[in-house]
Amino acid sequence: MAAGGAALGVIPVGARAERLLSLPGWQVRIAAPEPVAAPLAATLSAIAVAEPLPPFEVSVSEDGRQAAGTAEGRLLWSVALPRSGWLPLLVGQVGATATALLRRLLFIHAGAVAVEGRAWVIIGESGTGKTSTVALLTRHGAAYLTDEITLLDPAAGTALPFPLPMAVKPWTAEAVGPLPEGSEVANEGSVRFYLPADRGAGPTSVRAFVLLRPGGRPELKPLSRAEVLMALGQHHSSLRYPHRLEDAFAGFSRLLRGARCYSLTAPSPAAAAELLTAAARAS
Amino acid sequence: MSTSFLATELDGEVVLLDVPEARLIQVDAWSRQAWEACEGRTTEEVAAVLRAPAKRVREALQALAGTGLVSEDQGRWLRAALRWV
Repeated sequence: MAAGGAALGVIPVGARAERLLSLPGWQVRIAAPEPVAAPLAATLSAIAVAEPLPPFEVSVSEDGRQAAGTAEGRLLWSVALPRSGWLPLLVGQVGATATALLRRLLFIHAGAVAVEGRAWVIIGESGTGKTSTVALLTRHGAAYLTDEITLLDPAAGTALPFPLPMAVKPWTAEAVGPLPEGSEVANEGSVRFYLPADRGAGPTSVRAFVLLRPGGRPELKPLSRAEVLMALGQHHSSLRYPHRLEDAFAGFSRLLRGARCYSLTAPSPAAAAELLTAAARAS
Repeated sequence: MSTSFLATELDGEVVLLDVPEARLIQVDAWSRQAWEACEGRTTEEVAAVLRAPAKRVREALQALAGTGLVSEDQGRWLRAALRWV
C-alpha cells in the first residue's frame, strides 16, 4: 500500500485530469476537469480507512455539471452538480460511499474527538452544531477524529479516525471564532475545508456517546443506552444499510455497553464544548 | 433457527430489531414481564402469574401482538422467537 495522501497527477489532454489517490485502506481515482479534480483530491487526501475498501472512481463530466461514483464495476451514484457548492456535495458523496462499502466497521453520522486518549462521539442531525462543537473541542486540546463520519470497531470498542477536513460553513466560523491550529486544504462556494493539525492517529477507546440537542439551558445529563440505540435507528448510521442491519444492531449494542451515554443541550456550540470538556476531564 | 427479531438488553431495558421491517422496538419493563410470562398461557393466567389486572395484561400483550412479538392462538399467547445479541 502506498503512503497516505500520495497523489499521482496525470493531465492527458486539454484541462481534464486523472488523479489516483492511494489512501491508506482505499484507492480513489478521480477523473474530472482539473479545477474540480485538484480541490477534490486535496480535500480527500488525508482520509485513512482502517478497513480496506474496494477501489472507487469519481468521474465528473467535462462541463463539470454531472458526477458519478463507481466501485467494482457498479454505478453507485450519479448526481447533478450545482454551480456553487459542488465540492461539499462531492466530498459528501465520497464520504457516504466509504460508509456504504464498509463490511466490518460501523459508522455513525457524528463528530468525534479524543480527550486524554478516550473518544467522545457527538451525534446530531445536520445543522445542530457538530462541526462547531468539534472545532471548539479541538481548539481546546482534543484530538480531531472527524466532524461527520465516525468509524467504530465494535469488536475492539474503539473509534477510528476518518480525517476528512472539517467543513467550515459561515455560521461555523462565526460560532467558533479562531479555528484550531491547522490548514485550509480547499474552499468552494461558502465552505472552507480545514484540517486540524492535532489529529488522532489510531484506534481510540470509546468513552461516551453524546446526543447533541441544540437550544435550551446548558445541561449534560446521563441517557440510557437503550435510548441512544433507539436514536441511532433514526439517525444516519450503519443501521440504514440493509446488508449491515443485523451486525450493526449487535455491534452498536456492544459498543454502547462499554461506553457512557449522555444527552447534551446547549444554547451554543461554545457552551456545548465547555460542558463536554469538563465532563471529559472529570471522567 | 431463523428468527425475525434480534434482541439486546441494555441496563435492564430491552431493544428489539425487527429484521424484516427494519425497525427498532423498545420494550419497557412491564411489557417485558408480560412477554416473558405469556408463553402458552391465557391472558387470565398471565395476570395471575404477574398478580396484575387482566385488563392491563391484555393491553400489554395486544401492544406486543401489534409488533409481531406475540400472537394469540385459541386464547393462548405464543411468543415469537428471538435471538439475543
